[in-house]
Order: sequence, then C-alpha cells, then structure tokens
Amino acid sequence: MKPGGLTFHFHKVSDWAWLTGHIGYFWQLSRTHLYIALVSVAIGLLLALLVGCLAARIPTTHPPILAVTTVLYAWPSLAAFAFLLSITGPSDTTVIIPLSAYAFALLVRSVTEGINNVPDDVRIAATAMGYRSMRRLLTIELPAAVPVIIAGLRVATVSSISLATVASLIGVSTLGQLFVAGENTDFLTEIIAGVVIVAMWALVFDGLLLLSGRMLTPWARRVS
Amino acid sequence: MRRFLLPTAIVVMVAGLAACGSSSKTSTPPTTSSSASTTAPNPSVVIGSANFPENEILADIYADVLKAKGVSVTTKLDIGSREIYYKELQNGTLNVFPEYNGALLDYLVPTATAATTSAVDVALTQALPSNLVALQASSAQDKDSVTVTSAFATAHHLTSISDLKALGTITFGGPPEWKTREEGLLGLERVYGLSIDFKPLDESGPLTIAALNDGTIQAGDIFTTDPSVTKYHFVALADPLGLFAAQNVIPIINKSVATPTITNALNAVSAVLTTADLVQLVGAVVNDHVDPSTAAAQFVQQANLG
Amino acid sequence: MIAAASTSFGGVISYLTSASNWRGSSGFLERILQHFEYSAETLLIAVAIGLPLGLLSGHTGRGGAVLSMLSNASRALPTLGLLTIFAILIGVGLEAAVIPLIFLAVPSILVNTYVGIRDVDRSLVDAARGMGLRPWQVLFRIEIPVALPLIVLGLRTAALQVVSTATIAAYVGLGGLGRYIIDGQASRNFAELGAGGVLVAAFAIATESMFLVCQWFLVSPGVRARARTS
Repeated sequence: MKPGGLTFHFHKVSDWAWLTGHIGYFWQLSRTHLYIALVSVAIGLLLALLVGCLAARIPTTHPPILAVTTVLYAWPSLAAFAFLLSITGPSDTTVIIPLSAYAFALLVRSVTEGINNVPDDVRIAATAMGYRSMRRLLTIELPAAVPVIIAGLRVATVSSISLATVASLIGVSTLGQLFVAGENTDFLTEIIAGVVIVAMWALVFDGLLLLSGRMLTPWARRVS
Repeated sequence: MRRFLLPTAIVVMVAGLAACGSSSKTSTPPTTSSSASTTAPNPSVVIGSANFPENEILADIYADVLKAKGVSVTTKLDIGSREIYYKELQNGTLNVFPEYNGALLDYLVPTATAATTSAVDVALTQALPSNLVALQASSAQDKDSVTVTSAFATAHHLTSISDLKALGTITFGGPPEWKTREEGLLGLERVYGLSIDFKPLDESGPLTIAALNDGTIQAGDIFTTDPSVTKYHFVALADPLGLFAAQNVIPIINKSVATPTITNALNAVSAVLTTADLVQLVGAVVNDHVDPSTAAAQFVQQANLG
Repeated sequence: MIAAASTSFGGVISYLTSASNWRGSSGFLERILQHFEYSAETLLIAVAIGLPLGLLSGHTGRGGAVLSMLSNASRALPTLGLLTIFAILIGVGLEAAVIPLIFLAVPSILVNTYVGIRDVDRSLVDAARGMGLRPWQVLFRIEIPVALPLIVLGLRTAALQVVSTATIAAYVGLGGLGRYIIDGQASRNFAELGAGGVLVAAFAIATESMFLVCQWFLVSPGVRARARTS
C-alpha cells in the first residue's frame, strides 16, 4: 500500500449546491420528524378528549387532573427523552411518549375549557329537549367546544413540531439532526435550512388546522 | 358533509406518514448480490456511528466495502456518544461499529493501564463481552488531546501536559461526558495532578475551537485529526504519562456477523487506513462541506476496496 | 426493572439531598440562579416587546391579523435551531440563550394581550367614552383591568414555556438547570439526570404558582367572578 496514505480530490461544495443536493435528505428527515410530532399530537388529543370529558362531567376530578397536567407540562422534554433512552433506546417511542404527554397536558385544558364555556342556555335547552348527559356531551357540548380545541391543537401541533427537533440530541434523526450536524461542522447553512424547514412544516400544519376549524364550525366565523 | 373533507384529509395524511415515516426505515436500502455467490449468504449488518463527522465517514466506509461484497447493510448514523450507543452494540441492535481501541477499553475498564496499540488490543479483547469481537486495528489514530493555541504554548513554554501544572487552575473545555471519564477530567486531575475548571462545550466542535481561539478556555480537547489543528496552528501537548492510550480505529463486530467475508472486508479497511487519510477525509467534510458518504466513497475507490 | 427504577429513584433523591451538590459553581443554587437569569431576562424583554404591541393593537383594533401571523411564525421557529445559530454567530453567552427564548415567549404575551383587550365588552368602552374618558384613560382604567386575566394568562404561559425550554441552553455550553440533564445524559448518570428534571419541574411549578398568586391579587374581584380560570 502507498506509504503515507492516499491522496483525495475534493471540491468545495457551495451552499446552494449543498442545499439542492440534499432535498431528498431533508424529505427523509421530515418524514420521520412529522411522523413523530403528529402521532404525538394525535395521541395527546385522544387522551385529552377522554380525560377532558371526564373532568367536565365530574368536577371533583378537576384539581388532581390539573396537578398532573401541570407536572407533565412543566417537565422538560429533554430530561424525559434522556430518561426513556435507557428503557426504549434511541427509537421513535422514546420521543413519542414525552411529546404525547406534553400535547395531552396542553389539550386537556383546551377541552375542559371548551366544554365548560358552552353557554348555559344551550345546555338547558338541550336538557329540555330530552338530551341525556352523555349524548348532550358528545353531540352538543363537544362540537361547540371545537373552536377552543382547535386553538389548543394549533399550539400543540406547532410546539410538537418544534420540540421534535430535540430528539436528535438522543440519536433519533429528526430535522434536528440538521442542527447537530451543522453545529459539528460549523455549517451555518445547514442549521438555517433546518430552522426554515421546521418552521415551514409548523406553519403548514397550523394553517391546515385553521382551515379545518373554519370548515368544521360554519356557524362561528370568528377569527380564533 | 363537505365540511369534514379537509379534516379527514389531514387525518389520512397523518396516517400515511405513520405508515411510511417511521425512523426504523433508515437511510441505505439493502443491496442484494446479483451474481451467484459461492460463499454462504451473509447475515444482514447494521452499522452504527457516533455523532461526529469522522465516525460517520468510517461507518460509511465500512458500509461501502461490505455492500461491495454483497452484504445487506443498514446504517444507523449519528447516534450519540459512547454512553448512548454502546448499549445498542452490546444488545445486538447494532452489529458493526467503527471504534477507537483505547477509548473503548477505557470505557469498559476505567482502571486499564495499557498504552501501546498492541497492549491495548490484547486488553480490549479480554474486556469485551462474549458476543463482541475486535477485528484488526488500523494504523490510523484519532486521539483525544489536551490542546492549546500556539501563542499560549509559547508564552508559557508548554510542550507537555505536565507543564500545565505550573499554571495553577486552568479552564478546560471538552465534551460533557469528559467530566466523568478516566481518559478525561478524572485522569487529568488524578494522573497529572492538574486543577481544572471544566467547561462542557461540544465534541471538538466549533464551540470548543472558538473558545480556545478567544481565550474563554486555556486548553481544550481537540481530536488529533481535527482540521482546526492545522487551520489555527493549535498545539497538542505531549502525553508523557500515557493517560491517553493509543486510539486506533478498529472495527467492533457482533460474533453473529463474524463471517469470513465480513471480517476480511473490514480488516482490509484497517490495513489501508492511515491517520493522514483521516485528516484529509475529515477536512473535506468539515471545511468543504463534502458529504461523509461522498468522502467515504472516494476512500473506498482510491484504496481499491470497492 | 421495577428494582432498577426504584434504585434510580432513590439515587435521584440522594443526589438532590446531598449538601455538597448544592454548593459551588456547578451546584444547584448556582444553576438555579443561572436558570432564573435566563428566564427572567427573557421574560422582561418579551414583555417589553409583546405587551405594548398587544395593548396598542387591541385598543385600536388594527394590525391584529398581521401580529397573529407573526406570532405564529415566531412560535414555529425551533428554539434548538435558533440557539445553535446564535451560539455559533455570537459565541457562548447569555444573549445566545435569551434571544431564541424571546422568540418563544413573545407570541403568548402578544396574542393573549390582544385578544384580552379585544374581548372587553364594547358597551363598557362606549360608556367610558361617553363619560368623557380619553383613549389612554379608557385603556388603562377600563380595558386593561378587564383584560387582566387573559394578559396574566399570556404571561404565565410564556413563563412556563421559557422555564422549561431554557434547559436546552446547556446544549451550547451554557449553564442553567439543563446542565444536569445534558451532562447526566452524556455520562449516563441517572441521579444527575433525574435531579435536573425534578429541579426544572419544581422551578416551573413555582413559577406558575407565583403567577397564579399575582393573578389573584391583581385582578379585581368583579372581573375575577366573570373571568374564566384555566
């Protein structure tokens, strides 16, 4: 073998060439990222709807639920990721569990607030029409709470998409990988690309939710 | 019910993402050998890498040479520090990893005293769990170091780490895990008797380099193959007491994938790889923003290993 | 696994209660102070930006849509990314942590203030004008007091997010309580990692409680009765 090693020929890759050449990479990272972020929000929403309805119907459960959700919201996600790392390894699950908990904590407040804010006269009218508690809850109060829930969903989704970047610190390659690799190689372009792409996805889904909200509640055209 | 159209579309989109977005479907698609092979089929290999460019390049090199031999390869890159990825290697989730013999030995046996390449290799083979095997070490080394700026070295007449003791407490910057590593903060304090004010920064990255350059830290852990050493004329202080053992690049593989094809292919890499190669490859990635996989491909091509 | 969980839980408790961990430049007290520094400075600047803009826009009724869009965009920027950018551009320091956190905090304050003022019953505002109050008097004597629950909610939400997210500052070599999380994770020291999480959560809950108490005192009883609690 050649003494002193081999000689290589590399050309400097311009920022633009780098960006255009990595679109497939960005898309691959995006898919993992969005999968993790959106599944977490979906799980959080499901749980929030269940628990929120419970809290609305049985007021005594409200304080303990509030306490639990406050802790879930306050607990730093990075610590949760790192802790779960030793149990579920650097996998999607390790990231989805804390992000779901975070979304849940956020959305429970929206759900309970939404249900509790249904005007009393609507509630009374429904009862007068013969709606029993559960049916009233599901068919009258929950739909009326949709604007508030959607508002909470928008915040939860944007937060989730932003937080999923932190997963790259524990070896799960989301769009945050662009920050880690960019930091490793002092490559500002890569980091900025990451910021722009994450923000773009967040705004896209925020917009989709806003539109969905408008479509689901044709009777309420207020800007939320 | 037209108003449910958009929300339903969103839900379907999410479900679609769920179906195809899971990160378990990682980067490199497995290759299949098209020509009839006379050797027994090789097990599929999962190569991991740590979260710094050089290790990514090495993992890509291993991937390329194995794929050229018809092995089915998946890579899991940029996992994190050894404290994170080693467990995956131990439990078989990863079965090939480009390691550094001295650093791994120090991780497994903090009290190890082996310093030369051969001594470290022997000790490492004994220290590894029964399901892992160390292949042939290459001559290429990338060591942790205690590095200072040339101005600082000249001003205080520093040539070796022992010379730092005369300066009293020094501010030192390195990766966070150095705080508890024997080949790190603990060793510097115990073996060299230094008094250190430690600043956790990054893995020999821009934060550590910038901190060295602007004087925030007086010394830092800069990997010996890092391009910044030549770029900024840094000086890696000599290590007369052998705290930093030899750190040769060495493939660590799981016994379940130790087929002749795989071991020969990886050993062939070790036989060719030199420190000068590493310096060039890392320089290309860090300075020229070349992809680690592109750098790896050129190495494999120039070394006739593909 | 239960045994492992309980030993690590015990490890966290003993790490938290060992006196030596509280003192010194990397002790809990020092890091809590650093964390407070990052959070407080962020919130002060975020309030200075978000509150006046929200009040003005809410009072005049103009610019709401634009501000709402900007707030969304601001919230959409990943804090970790901004942190890395600023750490590389301006070096490791207080500003590198505070600037990204400001992007995170301003939206809550801005939007909640705007909505709070806008939601004030128009008849109250009309009555005030009819009584001869000038615009700024209407703002300070009527609109703000009535909107206070929502304004404080915005502040509270922002504070909570900042305190929790300030942990990421440790990724770029800064201090704060995130240091225990990053270092603990890097060296697989569960006691340190768990202790960091507990401290941040405690800090966040303390912050939330402080704001709830402030809200109780600041908001006039008449408004409080009507206001929604969340």
